[in-house]
Amino acid sequence: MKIWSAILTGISELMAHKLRSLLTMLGVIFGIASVIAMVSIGAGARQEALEQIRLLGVDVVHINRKSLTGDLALKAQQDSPQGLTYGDALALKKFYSSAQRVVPVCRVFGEVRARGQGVPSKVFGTTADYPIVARLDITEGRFIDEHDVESRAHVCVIGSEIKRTAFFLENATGRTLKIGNQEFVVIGVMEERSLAGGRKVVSLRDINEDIYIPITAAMDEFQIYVEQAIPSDYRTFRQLLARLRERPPLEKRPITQIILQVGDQRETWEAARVASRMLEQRHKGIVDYEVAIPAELLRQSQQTQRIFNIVMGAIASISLVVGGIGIMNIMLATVSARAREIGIRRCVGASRADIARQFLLECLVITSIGGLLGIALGVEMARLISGYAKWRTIVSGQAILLSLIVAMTTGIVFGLYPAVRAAKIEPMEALRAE
Amino acid sequence: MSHDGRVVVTEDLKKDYLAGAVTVHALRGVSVDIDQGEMVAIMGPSGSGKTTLLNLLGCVDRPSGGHYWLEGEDVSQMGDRALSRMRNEKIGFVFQTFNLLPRLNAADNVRLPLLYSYHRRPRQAPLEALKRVGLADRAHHRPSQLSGGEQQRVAIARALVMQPTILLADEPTGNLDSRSGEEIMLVFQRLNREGMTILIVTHDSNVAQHTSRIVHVFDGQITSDGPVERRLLAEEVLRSMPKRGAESE
Repeated sequence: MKIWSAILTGISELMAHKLRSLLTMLGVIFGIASVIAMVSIGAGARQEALEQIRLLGVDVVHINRKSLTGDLALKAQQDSPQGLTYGDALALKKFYSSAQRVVPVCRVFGEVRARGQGVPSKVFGTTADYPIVARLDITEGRFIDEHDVESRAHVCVIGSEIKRTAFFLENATGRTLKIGNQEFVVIGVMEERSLAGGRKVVSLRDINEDIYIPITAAMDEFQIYVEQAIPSDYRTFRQLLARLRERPPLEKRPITQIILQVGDQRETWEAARVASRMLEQRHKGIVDYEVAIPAELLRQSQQTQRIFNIVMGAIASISLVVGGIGIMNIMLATVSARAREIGIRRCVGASRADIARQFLLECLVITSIGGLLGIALGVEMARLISGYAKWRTIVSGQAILLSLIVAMTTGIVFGLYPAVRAAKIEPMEALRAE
Repeated sequence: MSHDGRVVVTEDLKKDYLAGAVTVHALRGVSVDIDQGEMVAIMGPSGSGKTTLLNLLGCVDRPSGGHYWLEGEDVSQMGDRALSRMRNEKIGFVFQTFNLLPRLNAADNVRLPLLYSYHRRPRQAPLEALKRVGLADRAHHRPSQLSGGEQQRVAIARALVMQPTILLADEPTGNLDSRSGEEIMLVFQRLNREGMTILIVTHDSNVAQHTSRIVHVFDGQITSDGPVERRLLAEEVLRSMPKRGAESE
């Protein structure tokens, strides 16, 4: 029997029992729909994580100040009282030659005012390379340069949101901002950066509210925020205050972060290791800093994604197995109900293989149609989810193809037994049965 | 083995069934020859083995022992695929309960064997076959729209469409009123006159009287085999019957 006429028989059989066919397909429809929905949610999440981590850059290593507590804090008080310092950044730059750029960052706290109005913002001292390692662009004016850093110039570069609140549509460059009680001349405005909406894989702050000043000026003019090592007893606290008041050299001033850029993503792990070792030595074994590798975060998020995929896959397979068993059940009932037809076909020349093939194809038709309906439902589900939950979903052609193949495989696997049963029916007995 | 005019040759044909732990000897060695162009009735009470014989002759079942040559080909050793091909090409079945597929119209029912054929048949073959049984105008009717006699004629058309060597009929008039039954016998006699070999399994001696030879089967063996002396001609019988119209139909 030609395959095409077997398929046509299958379709007309489906059309003759529309409700039964739909109920039969239901398991496959939901199974495939959930496969599609899950795969597209997964793909969306993966894409989002990727983009967020790319914002940090995959060829950089972040070294962040870490506050210590308890005994460690007391020990730090003696051996590494400043925590992460500007000197650490300079040392890394000097002795670690594989680092293409070493950028110190130092958060300062001071009220920011423009024309007497307070402006919500975060102020950072940094160097000329910051926009390169942070992947930021300037839309107006220029960024801080090396000369500014050297001369401790009172200049600043503002985020787009600051420009909007402080100067609105006016030109920002050349205007002054008051940070603490110091005046800073705006020399540039950063490009606006929209954060990918939805779930955040890594916490990203709204950099549009940032203000950047030369790190030297920051350390010079502001009480540096020292999170760690606020001693509990009064005597050491006074010592600390005295030390701060005596204005130590810049190298001894605490900073909040060092960003290390290497040439290649693959070198980040090595760079992190080398930097850790150097800092450990400088801090006399006190680990009052943490080393973070965005590329590592990326890898971890992919790992999480893999686990997510396995769980999703398991759920989808269960629903497909349930759907498949449903199909097998109905097909077995159909085989009994159509015994006479099988007998007739056998008598006019159908072999057992012909009968088995026909039932298998009918099963395949059911699951293929079910699969297509499931794909439509799944795409719609993905669309609704991105609409309501604001999650990004990506429906890939690959996922659709895969689900169709899965649906058809389900049909073949669960159609096999009913097909064999159909083929085993003895024609004359089937025809004699009333 | 050359068949020189003999369509069916069986030699000591046996069939055993296993019914639980007991072996049932449905056929205990049947040797029968049927010549080209014969019209034979196989008679016997139920349980005599006549249906088993029909299954074997119809290539639906395989014998437990003995040999069966259909047009010189030894069928007894064939596998499922080859047997299916024999059924498709050489045998036309007609059943008591017509056995048409209810969802297909008459033409599509007649076309059914073509779906399983290895050879291309002319497109109009189903219509030709329907014409031979006088139902060309009913080609697009579904079985439910046809009378019992008409359904049986569609079934005969289906049996004819592959131009088989032999027609095998199992109680072909059993579900019909006497007039419709007689009309079916008329179709058979006409086909037989055109050269078709026909074998009818029946327990109705009136049906058997329409054939040219009666083989009696009892307890799995042939008990008698002889020509029909006063053969009934369906045309004459029909002429003597009351015209249709008084009865409902």
